[in-house]
Amino acid sequence: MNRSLRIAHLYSAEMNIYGDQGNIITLVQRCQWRGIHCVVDNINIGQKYDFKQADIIFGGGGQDRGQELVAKDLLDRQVALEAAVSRGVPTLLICGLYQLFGRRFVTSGSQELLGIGILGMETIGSNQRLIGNVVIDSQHGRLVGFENHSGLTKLDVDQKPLGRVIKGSGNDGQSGYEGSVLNNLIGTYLHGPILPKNPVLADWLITTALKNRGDNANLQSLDDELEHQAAAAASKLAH
Amino acid sequence: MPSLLVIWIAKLSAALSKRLGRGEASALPGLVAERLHSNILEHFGRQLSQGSVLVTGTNGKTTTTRMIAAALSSDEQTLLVNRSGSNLSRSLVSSFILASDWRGRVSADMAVFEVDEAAFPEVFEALKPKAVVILNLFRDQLDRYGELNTLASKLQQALKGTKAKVVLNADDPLIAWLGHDLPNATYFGLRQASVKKLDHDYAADSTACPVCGRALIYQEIFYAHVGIYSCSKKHFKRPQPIVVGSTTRVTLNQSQTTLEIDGKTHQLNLELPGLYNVYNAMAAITMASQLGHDVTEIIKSVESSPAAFGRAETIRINDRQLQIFLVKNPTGFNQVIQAYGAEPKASPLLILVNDLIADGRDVSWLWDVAFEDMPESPVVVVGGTRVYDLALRLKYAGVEAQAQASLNEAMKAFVESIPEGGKGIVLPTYTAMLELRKELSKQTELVGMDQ
Repeated sequence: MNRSLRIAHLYSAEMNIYGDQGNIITLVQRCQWRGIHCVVDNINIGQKYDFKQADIIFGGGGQDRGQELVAKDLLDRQVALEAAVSRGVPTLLICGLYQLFGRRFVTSGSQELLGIGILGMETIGSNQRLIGNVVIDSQHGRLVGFENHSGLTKLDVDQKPLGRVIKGSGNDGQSGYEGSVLNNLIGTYLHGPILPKNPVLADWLITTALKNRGDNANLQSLDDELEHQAAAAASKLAH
Repeated sequence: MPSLLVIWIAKLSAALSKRLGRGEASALPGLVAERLHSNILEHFGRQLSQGSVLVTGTNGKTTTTRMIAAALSSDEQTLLVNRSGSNLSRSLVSSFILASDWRGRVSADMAVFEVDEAAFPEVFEALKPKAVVILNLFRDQLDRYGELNTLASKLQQALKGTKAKVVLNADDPLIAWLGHDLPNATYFGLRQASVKKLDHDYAADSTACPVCGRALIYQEIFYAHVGIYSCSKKHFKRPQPIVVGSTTRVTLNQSQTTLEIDGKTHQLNLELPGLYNVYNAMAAITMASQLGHDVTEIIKSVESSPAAFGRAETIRINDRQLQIFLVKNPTGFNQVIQAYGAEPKASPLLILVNDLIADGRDVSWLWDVAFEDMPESPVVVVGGTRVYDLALRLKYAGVEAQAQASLNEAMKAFVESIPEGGKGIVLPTYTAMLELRKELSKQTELVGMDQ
């Protein structure tokens, strides 16, 4: 069977500073190694895009300044993105875009950015950055990454987190929660980037996308020894 | 506390630390002195009869500082230059303390200092330099420096209303913008570059107009976000440089550039790699000419200024040549990959990535490096504290690498892979470079080992 997937990369030009591009590289490679053809659509500010064609949606972190312009543009896509999430399109949001999928983000400079409110949460900027290697336990098993954020995210009581913090700070350094989950959407602070060192999560995104296309065939397993070695080294460094 | 007493105590601490075998700890005396006397840097700065020159920016500080020092040095004046990488306020104080006598007098007329970009505002305030060079701002150790725009606005605040001569990179929009309200700003920049652009430059930053936030339109991109640009609404465009370069040849070992300065053309031949060193040289030439030196003489001095350690340094071992290029961030790394691609034959590579504080704890940046653009190389050996992250990154770029957890094993495998009489390229992060040099110094004599 000729398999192919389309990845929508939200704001690839504006939200790209913490190596999150590595997540796209990982998805594309892990597809290619299995003969699945991947197309990546880079969606930038002002660009028209029909999310109905997207099999996977991805968005990364950016500079605070870029975030203002992105927040404004994102509001125009609220309906389309909400529909994509309820259709079950596998979606991964890191840091900056994770925050903007909540109701609002008040920056440390007291500026309020309106989010698109798909996730039941709010983020308040603080003067201290939460920085370091992180380990969490999630429904996808143990995940490792690197966090670097000044925004503290509080989840509503009915908002499901991605996981529990084992080492590191997580959403706000206090609740013990990291990230948010809704349907097949995952929001998280984990850079690193997250997917190369957590291939289970990468493969879950790919499998879910294929299933949405009616393709229930199993993914061919890959040799992930190096992935696990890198993850083990990173989790040793977390504290 | 009176400054003289502070200097004595700091000198004692330096002597003690040396005695205890801690080497010439570059920060300790400065740290002690700053604790005891908060204006000590200012106090020293006032003693310099010819004032000071500061060099800052993400990449190229050390090399540019050396080039400026080479161009400014003469029999008439003694220069004080800080040691490579020792560029925080306390390290500058240490430099002064080591250069002062027991009466607290500094034996220099002028200082040329490289300054950490985050420490720049406070150092600028204290030293009130007569001239400043700002090279570039690239994403670097986001866990330590924070974001580029924040850093740029801090530089802008510091420079506000200054009478110092300010030399800026016209081709980096964030840097060029710093000059928009500075009457004493002059610029250097390229007209054209003879290098093949990378296909996977993920690390381009700050391409928005500082006035309206719209993406800048580039007529030419030389590397990362460095090029010739303008705002589509005419708010801002690349300023006209007074030193304009056109490169004709750029490799890992050398570059040839034609410079236009004041209506005259000059040839600049550097025995240093990549386009980034052409920028460093243009910065130094602009600075020295602004300080009244003769351009032909400046170029001669810049061409013959030796490479700083770990920057295109060549070390011989077992009849093989190791060339070391420090890599600190995606843009610097991409520049080396770009120059490596221009080599007629790809030499074996050793890449070492550590994640200590001086390297940046976060290794996410490896995914912003254009490893996909690496030419086919016979051998790639990887090591360092984050060896598996590096090997993993290379795997996804389609580059097969041999991972060695210990530096010694990595070194051994690498050296063995170089044919006798041949050359190998080493790309270490900062602390990996220090470690590597320490290991190499056991096996061979290193020249210019200043740390």
